[in-house]
Amino acid sequence: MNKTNLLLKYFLAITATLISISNLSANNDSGDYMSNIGKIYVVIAVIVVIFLGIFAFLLIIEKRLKKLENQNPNNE
Amino acid sequence: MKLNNVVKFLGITLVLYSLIFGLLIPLKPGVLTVDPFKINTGKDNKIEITGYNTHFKSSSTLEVYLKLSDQQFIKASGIDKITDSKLTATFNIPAFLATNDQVVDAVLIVNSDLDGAIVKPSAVSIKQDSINVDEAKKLAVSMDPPKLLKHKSFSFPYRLILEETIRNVYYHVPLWFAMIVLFGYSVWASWKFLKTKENRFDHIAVAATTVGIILGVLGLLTGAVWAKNTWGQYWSGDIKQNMTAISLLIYLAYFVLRSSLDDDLKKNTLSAVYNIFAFTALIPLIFVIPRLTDSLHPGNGGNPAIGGEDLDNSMRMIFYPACIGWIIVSLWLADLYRRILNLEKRNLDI
Repeated sequence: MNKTNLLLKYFLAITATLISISNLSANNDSGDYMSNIGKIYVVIAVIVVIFLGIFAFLLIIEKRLKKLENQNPNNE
Repeated sequence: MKLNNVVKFLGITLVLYSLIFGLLIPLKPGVLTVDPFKINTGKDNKIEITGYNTHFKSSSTLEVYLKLSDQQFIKASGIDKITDSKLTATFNIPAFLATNDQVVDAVLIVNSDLDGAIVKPSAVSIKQDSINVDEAKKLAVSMDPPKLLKHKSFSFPYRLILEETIRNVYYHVPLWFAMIVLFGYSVWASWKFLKTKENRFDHIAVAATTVGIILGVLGLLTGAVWAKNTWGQYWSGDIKQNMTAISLLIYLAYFVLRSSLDDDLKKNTLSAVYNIFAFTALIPLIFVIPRLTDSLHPGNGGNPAIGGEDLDNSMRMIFYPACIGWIIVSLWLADLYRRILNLEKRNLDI
């Protein structure tokens, strides 16, 4: 297994953990938590989702780039 | 299309600007709750008002009014400032109100020098035991409409239910703007490909479509999180949500089509034609159909998308730069992907 693949899995694991944590809090009193301080955590959650998406995309295209690098050992 | 470094720098700056100022600038003061919100006529009606971002205690002039109609205002006879965000107002309400209704919905106005005038419509409903309009006219204390003070510092509007999530306008909406720009760019590239049959245009189309879909999915996810905490459900079957999901599925079929064909020229030509079809389907799905019916989204059901009520001038100063910033950043991402596609093709050819 190459490094990026591992990184991707690690990233997916983090995302899954985050989602399960947010589900846990949803079972308890997420309504109270998310509506705290004028629902500011909703904004934070939205920003986190956007950046998770962008980082996932970067990891995927890095994987493709790595393949290209391995094809041309002379082209550093 | 390779982006100039100056353009990239501009994109980064605008995205950071929208993140920093979109999060730091406070909301205008507002009234969160009024307790009790149902009162009867009579003397010494005490109402507890909870404010948000308010400065009740520190303001020097503070007046509270109940507005029953354009002519009739009742001024609070006593105000007890408990904290900056809590006050108790005492109202003496005449026994008869100048109306034929048993129950009158009154507008609450909190007028202060620091917070400006906070207006909460239908905040208090007043019940009168019996109706006597003639007597009410005698009892009514004639009073000029209060002079509403202005809130001075730069701030975003306070809206019920939305509250702080109004800031999501700077993060959720630009994703859609960027998605449309990227899909449009990819249609242009597909068109060029059909005319020239040059592979580099096909790479542009694939890269722009990929990043466009990612933005669309992120838009749906962020929208779902926002909807859960304002509309009540992750997916409420809103017309715009449904139509966007359909158009993203149409775009996903673009990749299904590509992977099902082996011959490169056939694959690129067919997918270019399909891409143009997908974009022509996207326009009515996203821009036309949602406006024909009712939607939870603002600006649908016949109104222009960004009307005056949904976006005030303070928000425009963050929202438009955020859109430009995200468009540039997503073009940049698409360009990185395009260059990888180019290299892969070149290596295959060697």
